[in-house]
Amino acid sequence: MLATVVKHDRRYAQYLLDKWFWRSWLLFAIVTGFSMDYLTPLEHRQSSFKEFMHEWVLDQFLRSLDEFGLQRPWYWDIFLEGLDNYHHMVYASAYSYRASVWFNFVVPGPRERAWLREKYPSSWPEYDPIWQRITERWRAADPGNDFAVHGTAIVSFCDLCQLVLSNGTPRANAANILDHGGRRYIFCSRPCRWIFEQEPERYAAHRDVVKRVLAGEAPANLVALVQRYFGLDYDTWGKDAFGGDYPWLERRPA
Amino acid sequence: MIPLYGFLEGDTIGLVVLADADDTVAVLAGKLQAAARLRAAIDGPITVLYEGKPIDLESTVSEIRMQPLGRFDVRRGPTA
Repeated sequence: MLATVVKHDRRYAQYLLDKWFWRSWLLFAIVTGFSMDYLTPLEHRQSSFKEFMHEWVLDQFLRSLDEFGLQRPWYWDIFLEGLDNYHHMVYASAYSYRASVWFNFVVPGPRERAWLREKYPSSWPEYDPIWQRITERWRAADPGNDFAVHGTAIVSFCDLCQLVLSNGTPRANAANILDHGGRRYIFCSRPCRWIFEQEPERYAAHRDVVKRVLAGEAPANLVALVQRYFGLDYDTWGKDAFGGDYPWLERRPA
Repeated sequence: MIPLYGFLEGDTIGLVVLADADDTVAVLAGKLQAAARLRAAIDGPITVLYEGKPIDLESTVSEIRMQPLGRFDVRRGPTA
């Protein structure tokens, strides 16, 4: 199908490629990055998500671009930086708001963090202190008391991809604001903003959770939001898979 | 109340902070730090940026003319 579009309108084909590669990348990084770098037990990991992307996705993708005579997406450097960061940004964020999703999370322990440091030498030093803080919080909390180690503030979402504003790095979050048609929009990244600007009429009316909360259409309280708006309850919302009771976590005596 | 998007250096996500018009920028920064404390904290002096520009910690939200859903950043180190 792409060959047909390229044949008739190469510019439009490039636009579709740029748009959908980015949108696919965000979801793929979350689903696969979480699984490979956090949720798979260490002894079963064969490669990091970044290594997997380079070996199984990028080489073939770049060959396909050459085959079709298309260019790399204009945001290629942003994407490459994201290989070292995006799924780590979202995982730490999602862990601390795990009750808002429907699956469980784990804290990377000392062995997992050593592995991540080896696999992501340029970026992991920014994430390690975050997990150290979460570990300290669990150490001071009772096992199973998930909400003692959970965020309560309202998180923010991208007006294009509807995912959390977790692009960029811990040092420099990539979110950016656009005023359009008398309304203010925020995007997690320059590519999401660019996609919006190509077809604003397609996306302008969408409202993220924050705007629905501010409009009084959804509750601001996190538990009420999760229960009444997301349709989750204690049995179904995400928790720490071990209730914070990790063998490596030397809990302080009460 | 003025809803603002806050970004703390060292954190992984933007948070919505509800500011009072009379809040000083220092108080606003404190609200963000409290909301992000589970994941990140800054010990020592901070710099606050609004729409990318440094702002005075003693000024109030209304004096800075912060607009709803504007972006502010709290970063390490004193304002240059």
